[in-house]
Amino acid sequence: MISLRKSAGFTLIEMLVSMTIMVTVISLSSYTYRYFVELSTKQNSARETAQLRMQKFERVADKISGILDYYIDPKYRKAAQRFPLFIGERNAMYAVVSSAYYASSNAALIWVGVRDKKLVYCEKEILGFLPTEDIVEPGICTEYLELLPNVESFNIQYFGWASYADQQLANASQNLQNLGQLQKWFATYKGRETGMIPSWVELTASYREKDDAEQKTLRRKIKLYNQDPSRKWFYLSGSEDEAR
Amino acid sequence: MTLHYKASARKQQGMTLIEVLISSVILFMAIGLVSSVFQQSLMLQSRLKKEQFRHEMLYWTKNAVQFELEKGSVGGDVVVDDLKVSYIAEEIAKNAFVDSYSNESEGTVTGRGYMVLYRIQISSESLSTSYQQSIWTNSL
Repeated sequence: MISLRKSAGFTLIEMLVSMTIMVTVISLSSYTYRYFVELSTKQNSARETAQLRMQKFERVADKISGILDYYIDPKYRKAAQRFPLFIGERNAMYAVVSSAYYASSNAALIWVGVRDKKLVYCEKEILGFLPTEDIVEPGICTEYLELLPNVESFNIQYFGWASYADQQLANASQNLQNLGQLQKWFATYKGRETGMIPSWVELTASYREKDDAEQKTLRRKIKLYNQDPSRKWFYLSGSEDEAR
Repeated sequence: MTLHYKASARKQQGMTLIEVLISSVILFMAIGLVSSVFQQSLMLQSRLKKEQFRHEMLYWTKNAVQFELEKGSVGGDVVVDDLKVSYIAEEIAKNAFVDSYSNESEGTVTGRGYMVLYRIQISSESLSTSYQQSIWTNSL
């Protein structure tokens, strides 16, 4: 091209101006790029944390759904009726599940509550010992599964029958509008007192993802499937009674 | 074809219109391509997050609705975490729960309640779907 041959190269001013523009553009774009990478990594890790927590929570809920009416003898009153091992406190729960979280072929004692400001799930496989008394097994929480961080309040409510008699009455009656009618919410629920396990539990918690993050609420209901009317009847009228 | 400018004292030759057009088109294509890659990645992430939230809420909403249905209320609101979800349940089928079979009466022995199949419609700000669920009930 004629024009190129004619021109004598760039002047100093031109070079300076173009270089300034180039440097500005490059630095701006590199900054944006870094910002983008950081943002996406942060988002990704937050999402992964959320996903992991979701999966853990669903699995634990599955375990809670499988809480057994595991019958034990009262320690001091041998003649008294046996009752299921279930201790439902206001902010913790202790029970027996049919399959453990880590070793699903074994039954386990579980404890759900708050430890070190975390909502945790603890378990101890029933191997080499039999839970006999309704006191919480010591050392059950030596290892735990964290469900929620920075828990500020945690509460469990129990929905079920006040007693076994109530349940039998409802079961026998065809006039009742619904089975749920005689059941109600309890702040605490003990197998020793009711002779049963509840049919639903509701977990309520307020927590923060991080110390300075906004407060979040958790409010979830879990159904306990083994609270089956005929199962208890089956246990009570089984070989144990015939032997007497 | 070429455009000539008279700048200050020196005579300068600029680029032709075609050159400018072509180069700017290429530049914009490159910029557009790069930015769309970034944007797509961000959009994918936010969609994934949304879907995850949806799945989690649906899981717990189903539980909460089942609780209400067992109590016998076929419509209303449930609260999951801080999300309020309204639901309407419509009965599709209801069958007696079969206890056992009897030779004497030549048929099934029932009377332990019913299995009811519901179609449930749930809706809230961020969640709206329908599904079916069966509930065991004692009521006629």
